[in-house]
Amino acid sequence: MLTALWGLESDEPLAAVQEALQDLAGKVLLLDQRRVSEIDFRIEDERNLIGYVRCGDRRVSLEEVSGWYIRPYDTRRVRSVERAGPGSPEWKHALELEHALLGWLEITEAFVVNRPSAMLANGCKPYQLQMVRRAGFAVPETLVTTDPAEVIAFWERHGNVIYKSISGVRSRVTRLGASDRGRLSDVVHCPTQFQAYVPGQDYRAHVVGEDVFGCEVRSEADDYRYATDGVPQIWATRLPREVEERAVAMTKEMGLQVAGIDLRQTPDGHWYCFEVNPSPGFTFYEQFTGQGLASAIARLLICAGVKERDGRPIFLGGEYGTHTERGSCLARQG
Amino acid sequence: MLIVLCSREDWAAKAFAHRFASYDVHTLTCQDLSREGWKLALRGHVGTKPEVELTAAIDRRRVGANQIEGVITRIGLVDERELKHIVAGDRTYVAAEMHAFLFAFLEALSCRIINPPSPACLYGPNVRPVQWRRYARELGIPVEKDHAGVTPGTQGCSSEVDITVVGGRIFGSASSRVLHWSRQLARISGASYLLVRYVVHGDDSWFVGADPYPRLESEEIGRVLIEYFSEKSQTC
Repeated sequence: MLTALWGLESDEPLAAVQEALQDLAGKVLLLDQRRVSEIDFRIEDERNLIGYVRCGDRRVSLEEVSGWYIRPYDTRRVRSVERAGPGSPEWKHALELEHALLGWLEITEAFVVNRPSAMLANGCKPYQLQMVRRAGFAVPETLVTTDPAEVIAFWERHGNVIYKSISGVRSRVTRLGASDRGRLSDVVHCPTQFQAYVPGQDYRAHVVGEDVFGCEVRSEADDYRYATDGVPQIWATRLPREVEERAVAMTKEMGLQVAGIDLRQTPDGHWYCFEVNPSPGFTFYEQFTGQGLASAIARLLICAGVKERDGRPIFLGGEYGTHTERGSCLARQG
Repeated sequence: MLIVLCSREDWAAKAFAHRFASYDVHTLTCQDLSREGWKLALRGHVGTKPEVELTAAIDRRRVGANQIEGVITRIGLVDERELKHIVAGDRTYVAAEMHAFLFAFLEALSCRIINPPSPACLYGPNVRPVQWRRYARELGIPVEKDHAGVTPGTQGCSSEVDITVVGGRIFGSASSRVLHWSRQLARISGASYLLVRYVVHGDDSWFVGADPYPRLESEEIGRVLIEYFSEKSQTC
């Protein structure tokens, strides 16, 4: 029983999960993208899902891997690959490895956090919003357009409007202001997303299997991730049971095992969901809340990995062995 | 109106649109997304069904979703090389945004689309070769890769056969069993159009791979595509 990690060793969530797995005495194989030239991956018998992955001197049979935690960065931007340049053997090897691993992660019987195909919806926000809406959360009224007149009409209708990217490219949520009026004609070049501003209190929910770790976020910034007037205040909180249940159901419906969900409760009590992040940077929140998210993910990888492969549940001893009321082998909510 | 979403230099798509101009076929390139008039509006207050309003800008006129009777997609993603009209430093970002927009737009249309898009591939299911082979095995189709070294492919007297599935129609010369497999592969992957390749030796056939990218070069396939969209003109 072994968990494979794929990403950059220096990536904080990946490092935190690695450490948590080791604390649980779990066996770990780290596939560090910076050492891509030392990684070899082969599916020797595709029908029976037999193969191996080798990293440096360490060679592991794929059958041994019961869980995968992946946070891969764009391979082409990994320093050694970028330096080698397109067409170089390193570049070719890195892309072939990425292609092979992404294919494997779709077909392996091991437990994967998260399957690459399930993560794709996050790269198209208007599509994901429709999934969110179907899951029962409110979503902000949204306009994506190349028509400046439509933007002005939308702005006049809502008074308070924000704009942000719709792809996987991270962007800062920004309030549309008077200084933007002169450049609204730029939207003609590319469909641009505008949303009615939703007032209220921000929350972040991390779903890990069946468990929800809620936290409350206080910030004056429109996008607390980029707050310039001091760090946001974040603390652990318990979300209403129906919100937790909706979050877990939505995460499952999206085919995800772990997700970071951005929520806002309006003054009149409605719960809006803005985004479901399939590869959450949970360490940012954990540093304030101490919720043990890395441990929860590690336990999920170990428990569910064995359960998924062998069809039997596994319960770890000690503090990690407590059942939650939903029957998960994961112990506690932070 | 039938839209062919294609590259700027996709001559096959342009020829197809020209050949079937009487069916109101129009090409659409990524450059056309930099025209005034595109709109995707999502509304849906708590307790109400979400509504999506779509407007396209085709050939410099605004086209409502209900006027679009079908879409053939010939690009998998928005390539920044298609965006020469955008400032070089912005192309990567704009390409990502346009890709996301196109996926959301196509996904929200209710007319027939060849093929229904996926977030990573606008022309159809984002199925990797290894997944196609898994589909084949699940359907009981012999897979060439499983027989490496013993398949006739290594003995010099085999041939490759392509079978094309378009909706309920099927093209290619092969046994009824192979045609049946091809239909099943199209169904399991959700593709309305699928080219399936086999290695054939005598009475035996092995699955090699499948590709949902719609070919428009063949006059026969082109005509069948037009019929496919005409037979059940599901306006949006």
